[in-house]
Amino acid sequence: MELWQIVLMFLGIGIGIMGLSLLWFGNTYAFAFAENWLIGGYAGINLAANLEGLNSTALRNITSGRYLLILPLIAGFLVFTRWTRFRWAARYPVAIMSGVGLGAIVGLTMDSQLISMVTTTATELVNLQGPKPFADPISAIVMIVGVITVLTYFLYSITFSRPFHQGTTRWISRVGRWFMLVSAGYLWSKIFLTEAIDVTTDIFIMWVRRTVQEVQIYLGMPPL
Amino acid sequence: MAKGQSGGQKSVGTFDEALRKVVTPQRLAIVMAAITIFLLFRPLFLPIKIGFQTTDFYNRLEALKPGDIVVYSTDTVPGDFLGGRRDIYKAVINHLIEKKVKIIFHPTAAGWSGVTDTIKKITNIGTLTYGTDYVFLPFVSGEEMAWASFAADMKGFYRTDIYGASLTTLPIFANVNSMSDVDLAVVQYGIFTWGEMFVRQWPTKYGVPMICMALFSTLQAWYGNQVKGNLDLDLGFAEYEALRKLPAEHILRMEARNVVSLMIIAMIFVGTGLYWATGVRRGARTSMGV
Repeated sequence: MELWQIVLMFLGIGIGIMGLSLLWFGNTYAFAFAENWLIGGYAGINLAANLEGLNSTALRNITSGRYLLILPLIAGFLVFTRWTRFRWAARYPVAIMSGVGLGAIVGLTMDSQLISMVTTTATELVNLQGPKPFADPISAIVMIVGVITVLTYFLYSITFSRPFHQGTTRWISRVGRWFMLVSAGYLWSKIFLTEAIDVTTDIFIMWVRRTVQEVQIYLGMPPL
Repeated sequence: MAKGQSGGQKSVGTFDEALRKVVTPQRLAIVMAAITIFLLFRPLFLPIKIGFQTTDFYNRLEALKPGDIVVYSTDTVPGDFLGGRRDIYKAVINHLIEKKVKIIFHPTAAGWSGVTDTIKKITNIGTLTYGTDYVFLPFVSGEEMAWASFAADMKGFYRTDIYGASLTTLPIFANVNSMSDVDLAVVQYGIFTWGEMFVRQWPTKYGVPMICMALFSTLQAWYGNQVKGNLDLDLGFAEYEALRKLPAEHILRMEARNVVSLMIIAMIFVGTGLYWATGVRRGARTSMGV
């Protein structure tokens, strides 16, 4: 790192500490400065990045002879008519994107999220063997029980599903609810661990460890 | 102390209040910060067990043959690549370079244009020839529709690389037209809904094996079928670094995370115990008012 980069690094740390000051001192000018700096910085970077994206994907191609790309470009800009009295025109890009999206997604969704999963579950049921590393019969049985009971929980037909919700077999939908609660608990704790603690660790890696390392390298000192 | 409490409850209430006064969130934050910082400089070198996802991910990369075509899809922006994910991105890209495969970098984030120089600087990609061994594609918005179009007709969809050179002139694309010609897709994303989008458009439609660097919960439904391996964020990154014998920051992060997680679990037990033992169950508030 050059000296100016070291200075910038410490400037960044200072702004970061201003942001963290919220924990001890509440919403002060220091925190507001850091917050606005961050939002403004992101807005600036994203504006530049999006303009570059527009240039590389549309403008550059149009000027090189792909004139038909003017049509989607115009369709895209129609979104901004929402700020004018011609706001009805903004429906066209939304409609185009929805139509194209549905066309590209629906068929493959049936394949990847329904047929493929039904096939996998049926195969596990027949073979009593899940995919590695859950290749034991118990895992396969738990998987099948979970699929059936959770599906039962979501049967809302009064005529056909009442026994599963109010009748003697309501334990089936209850087991399904337990499965969902367990998976939700796992998901919550996983995301909590990965997001919250990782973000915290990230701060100390970036602000403390790398700063110390860079200063050591700059000053020619041995590693800590 | 609440009115009407007996003498015994009075002493317990006092203890509870004293505890709340001593153990504040601010002090806890300082203690955890101190532990984390200490571990980042003085790791305990706890053993790391390599999970099946990381093993699958590693084996898929190891199975690549020289000349295989790999699409490396990433949503990194400059801050990511120099930030917390620096070491793992560097390690995976270097792994691909070691295997002498041809890499098509497929960006899914608008800030991509600022990343390419960083990749050249921190990885060994300088040993390869641009256009022959690797190529940087430009970012195109549209998410799933863009990825579907790219997979169907790569040269027709992009026409040029990030520098404006026609893809038809680049040797890497001589025999590559669609995702059917690709041997492996390495997909990294941060937005949870993107996993199923990639699964739909690439492995389901073209049968290309896909390995990921993403939260496992976002793709576990397809694991083993369409998804063949995964690095489950920091846990997976640390395992991969251990497996490759390339100790880097994620191993340190895991150590800090393990110790801090243990502390949190211990505090949950202590807090729950005190909650029931003190009898101050109703109306109890922390110093943060919740």
